[in-house]
Amino acid sequence: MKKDKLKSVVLKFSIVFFIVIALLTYFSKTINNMLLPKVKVVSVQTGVIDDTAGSNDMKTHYLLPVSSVDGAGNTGIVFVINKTENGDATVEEVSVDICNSDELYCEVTSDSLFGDSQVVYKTTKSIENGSSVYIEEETV
Amino acid sequence: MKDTVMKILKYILLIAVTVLFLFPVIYMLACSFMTGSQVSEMLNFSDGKYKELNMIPNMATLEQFYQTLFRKPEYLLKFWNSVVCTFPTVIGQVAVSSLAAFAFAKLKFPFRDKLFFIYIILLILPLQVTLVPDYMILENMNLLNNFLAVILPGTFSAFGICLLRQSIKYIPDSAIEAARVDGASYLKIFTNIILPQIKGGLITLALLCFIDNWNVVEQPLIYFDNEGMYPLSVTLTDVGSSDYGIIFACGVIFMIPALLIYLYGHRDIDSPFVGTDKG
Repeated sequence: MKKDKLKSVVLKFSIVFFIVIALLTYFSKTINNMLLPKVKVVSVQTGVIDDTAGSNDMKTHYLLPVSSVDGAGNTGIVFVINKTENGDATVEEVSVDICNSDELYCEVTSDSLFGDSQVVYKTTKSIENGSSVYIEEETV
Repeated sequence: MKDTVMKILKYILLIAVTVLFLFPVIYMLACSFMTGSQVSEMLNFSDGKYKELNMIPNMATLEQFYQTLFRKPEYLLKFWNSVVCTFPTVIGQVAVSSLAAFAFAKLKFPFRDKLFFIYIILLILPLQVTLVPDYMILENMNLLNNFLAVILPGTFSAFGICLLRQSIKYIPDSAIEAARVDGASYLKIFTNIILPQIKGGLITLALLCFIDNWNVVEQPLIYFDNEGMYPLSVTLTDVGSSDYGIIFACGVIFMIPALLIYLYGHRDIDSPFVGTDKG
């Protein structure tokens, strides 16, 4: 009798355990994404704001949205997206030299920016180097 | 007086041995309630040794469990990989072994004992000896990177057949002969006479097979290229992991099914042979 009771309890607990794990497996990605900072990213584009100004350096100049660059004076930082194999995204803090800017764009140079880099221009929570983020919108 | 002292010494020795055996489990449990930073700092491997082995959390927390269950779906997916590798193997092995054991124990056919002798030889072969031939066979069957690569070789176990053959041998031949006289087929004899009487043996085999396959490490590492297919047992052995705290929490979760299955069948494992239903 006692044996049957133990077996019954163990069986019920096992069923509950596997159901809970199954539900968590199904929803954990959603829960994780809900708790991550949601970011909007844009692909960097090469170019200059003012053609006539001319540039003597050989560096590639990138145009980034003003909201993506955090800085004052000639230097600033941007957050570049790194995607892992399983599709998760983290951000990497990259220093940039600000060459020029207008209401929409900042013209920057950096050794850590490449033609296919994506930078964060809007985020729902504060982010720091290495933070995991959920990409809400990607603009090319 | 002397007897009392001996008894106390015996108990001290037994407690010491028990603590020694339980230490890894206790340590895993203790670490699973620590913060990730404490575990990382504590197990910082440098100068050929770990910094310290502390069992008291600075701040007891469920952070590792929260991370494992809510924030890291990859570990839960690996848990299900373990389930997929283990449960079909257990069911298959119990089914195949019980049928084969019945044939070896009760049916008469040419070379029966010689065939069984070959099975015994298979039993003593270490797993590593058959890994490469298994790999080549599975490659030819296009079963690499498929869960069947772990399930199929595990299903045909010589150990299961030997164990159940011993159980079935305890059943008197007269019971089978009487059933044959009454017109029962071998399948009916197997399901109605043999299986109910070797319940203990079946549960013992299921338990041992479960433990064996739940802890499988070598086969997935060799047969699967895709790390996403690795069972949790492989991840738990990753000593180079940066998520030590989560590994400990995963270890606790990983332990639960094995404990549950043991609790469910531990009374039957004591008596794997006939007449097991002691109550």
